[in-house]
Amino acid sequence: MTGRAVAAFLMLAVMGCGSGAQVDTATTSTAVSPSTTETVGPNRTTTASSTTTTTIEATLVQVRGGEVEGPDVIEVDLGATVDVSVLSDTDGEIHVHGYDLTFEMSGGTPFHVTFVADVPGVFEVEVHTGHIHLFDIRVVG
Amino acid sequence: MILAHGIGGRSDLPLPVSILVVGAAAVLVVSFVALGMLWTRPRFQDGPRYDGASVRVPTRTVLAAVGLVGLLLVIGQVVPPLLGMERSRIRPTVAPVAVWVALWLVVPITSAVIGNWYADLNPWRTLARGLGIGNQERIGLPHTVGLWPATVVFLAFAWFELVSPHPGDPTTLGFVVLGYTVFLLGAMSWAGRESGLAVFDFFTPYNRLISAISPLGRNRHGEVVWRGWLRALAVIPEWPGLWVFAVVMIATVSYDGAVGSEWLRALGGGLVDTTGGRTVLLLVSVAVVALGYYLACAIAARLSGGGWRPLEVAQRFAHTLIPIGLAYALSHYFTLVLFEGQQMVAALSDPFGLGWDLFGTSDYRVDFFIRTSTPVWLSQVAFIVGGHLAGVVLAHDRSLQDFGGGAGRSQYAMLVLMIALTSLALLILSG
Repeated sequence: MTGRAVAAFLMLAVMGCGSGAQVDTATTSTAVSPSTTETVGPNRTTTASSTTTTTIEATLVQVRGGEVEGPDVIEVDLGATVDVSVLSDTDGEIHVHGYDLTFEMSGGTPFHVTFVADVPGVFEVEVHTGHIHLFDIRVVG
Repeated sequence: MILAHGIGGRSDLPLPVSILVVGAAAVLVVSFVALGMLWTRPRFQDGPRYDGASVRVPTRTVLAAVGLVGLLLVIGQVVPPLLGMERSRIRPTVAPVAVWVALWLVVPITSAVIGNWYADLNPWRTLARGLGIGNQERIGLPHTVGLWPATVVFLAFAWFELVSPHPGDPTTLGFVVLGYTVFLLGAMSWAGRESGLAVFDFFTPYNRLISAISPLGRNRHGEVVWRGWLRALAVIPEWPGLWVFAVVMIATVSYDGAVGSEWLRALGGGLVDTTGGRTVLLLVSVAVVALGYYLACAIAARLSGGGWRPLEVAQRFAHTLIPIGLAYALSHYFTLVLFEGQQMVAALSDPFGLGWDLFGTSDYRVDFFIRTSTPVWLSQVAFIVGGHLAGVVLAHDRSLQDFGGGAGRSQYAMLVLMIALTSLALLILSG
């Protein structure tokens, strides 16, 4: 993988069920309630969500030469809608294990991945092209 | 984090503190109730009874066929790349499901309940029989070299599954199983079919040891008969290296749990991400469990006052580790079996990942039918406590047999060991 410059920008938004707020690279969004995001430890982002509050956290994950910089684990509550927006300068296929979702990402074009986290557990998310592990999604419930 | 399993990509949430406390309390209660209530004369040591009603179960040919088809499908994975065909699916082909779910987990785990069906399933025996290989048995071999070769093979497989970067890659898996097949055929032609499998095919002693837990056995006519739980375990032959084999059972699962845990990540940092670092970690796990067990045996030997040597005690009590090893595997891989095992439905329709749809099921998705974590956590704790109870009971029974009057004191060493191993299991699950 070395020598192949990969830079992926992942904008991660985790939304509560009751709101239509969104995060996009092109859209400015506003959190309707104070953010409850907390840092649990190094390389770890926890985002709480419920039906009454909406929490939006944008996380940047960089991939360069197969090395991923960013949170190892992204934690969401069971039932939350996970919205992942990814920007990469190379093509690739993102796979959310367990949920078994695949997304074709084209280099340079941001795209949205949205799914309801309705199964508890820890799920790997990786770019299949080159087996680059991006992060784990930990669905708590 | 890279969870280097041959299949899956989902893992369980860590045990929450509340359930951890419940589990730990249950372990202590079970231990002390067991100590206070247990019998004063050995009950298991004369082995299983085979005098009950027996049933003829004509499954041998079917199982042999299933095993052989499975082997061919796994080895067949090497063909498409040789023909320049590209795999289209990212979901598992039949190979990782057959090897890392069925052979590695489902067969041994179920054999603890229904008896040793691997004996009939074993594709390498069927193959050797068909090819007329290994008709001359080296009868004494299992009693001279014992389980040492199988222990090395066990560690090699565990390394491939738990440490190596791409254990689920169908082509790699196909070549490894092809290599293993050639190795076993060579071993059987040299040592004979039964001796060769008993010594070199680690799945053979592995299934034999775990299935000794099962209440169902076979009488001399090959009919299935009720023999009672755990009874066969107390009389398994003490092959050389038995205790190390049992230690590896526990240590490999411990390693796998630890490598995915937060605390090890905090402790070991980037070491966990390199193959070399994880190889060291696997060997360290084996060393730690082996040392702990050896120390307990040395202390038990001393307390018994009967002139026992530590290694003798280690062999005499090795069977007590088997239910604990099973409990480790069961609690750790329970959901993997339930969920990833379903991949077989889709994989059978497209066994080589070439976009086929033989049975119209290639689109089957895993049904995560357990939608909350609590039942998973509670079953994990139940398996651990159950394995602990079986271990304590067997150790008590063996103490009475071997140490007689010294049993009372000598078994404290074993009890402490079992509490330690069980706490380790809970700790790993909560990491």
